Amino acid sequence: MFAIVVIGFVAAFGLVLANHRKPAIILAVVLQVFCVLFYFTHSYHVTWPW
Amino acid sequence: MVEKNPPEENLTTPDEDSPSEGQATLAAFFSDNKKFQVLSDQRVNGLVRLFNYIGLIVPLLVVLGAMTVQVFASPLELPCSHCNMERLAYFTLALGPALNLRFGSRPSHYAISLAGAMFLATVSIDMMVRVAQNVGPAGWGPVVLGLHVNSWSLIISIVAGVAIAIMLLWERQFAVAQLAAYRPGPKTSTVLKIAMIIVIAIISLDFVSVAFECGPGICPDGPPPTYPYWPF
Repeated sequence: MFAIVVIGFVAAFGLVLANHRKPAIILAVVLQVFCVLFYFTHSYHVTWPW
Repeated sequence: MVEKNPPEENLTTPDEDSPSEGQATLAAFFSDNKKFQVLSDQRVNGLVRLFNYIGLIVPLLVVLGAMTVQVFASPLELPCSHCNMERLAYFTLALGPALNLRFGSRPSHYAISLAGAMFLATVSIDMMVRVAQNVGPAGWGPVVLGLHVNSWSLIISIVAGVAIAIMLLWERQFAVAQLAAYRPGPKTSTVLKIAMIIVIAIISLDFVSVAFECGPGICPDGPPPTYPYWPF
């Protein structure tokens, strides 16, 4: 799953290189959502100081 | 005989593609009715492109440095889950400048970089709190110039956020990017093509690393001693 997202970034830069602006931006937003999901997937217990 | 007014098309209208003149005075800087201008359009375009090339290359150099340590460290030093997420944040950070260089400066491109900077800061702070809680002030991970790498990631995210805010305040770049003389053409320049190929190569190397470390799922929280999915 994580590797697919990394490939997604290759595709996003490839889209920029291939002159596709809006698909690159949409893909970047989708990848960012996946990044946030990964963050919550990896969040284990932390005692925050508040 | 009364002379007629000249037709509207004969009136002098500002040409949107011609460089506009402004003043380099404090009065113009603080006035809404005067245009403040220090640099020529050409200089603005050159500086914006330079800053964007820096924004494109620097995050990827950080990732390349981390991957070099990963490959050449003895024993192997594989990235933890948070380190892998920080790499994704660096890629997002570099995507905005890539879009700016290819299609001209737009606020939406900077927004993508800003999202990357915020994600990088979030992951770095989260990791620092975990390390402070579980390991203590000694810290964890490689040290570069007196600071742990996750601390450097937090500093880089703050610097990137401030830099993006400054670039967004520089509104003139968006007007210059619309001028015919500076509008990017349908073909990618050779320098940008080379830079983009280097960027794609670095991300592809990270894909190889992630594929051997994380396999088809998500990455392990703690860095494994060897690549769990290494087939040989």
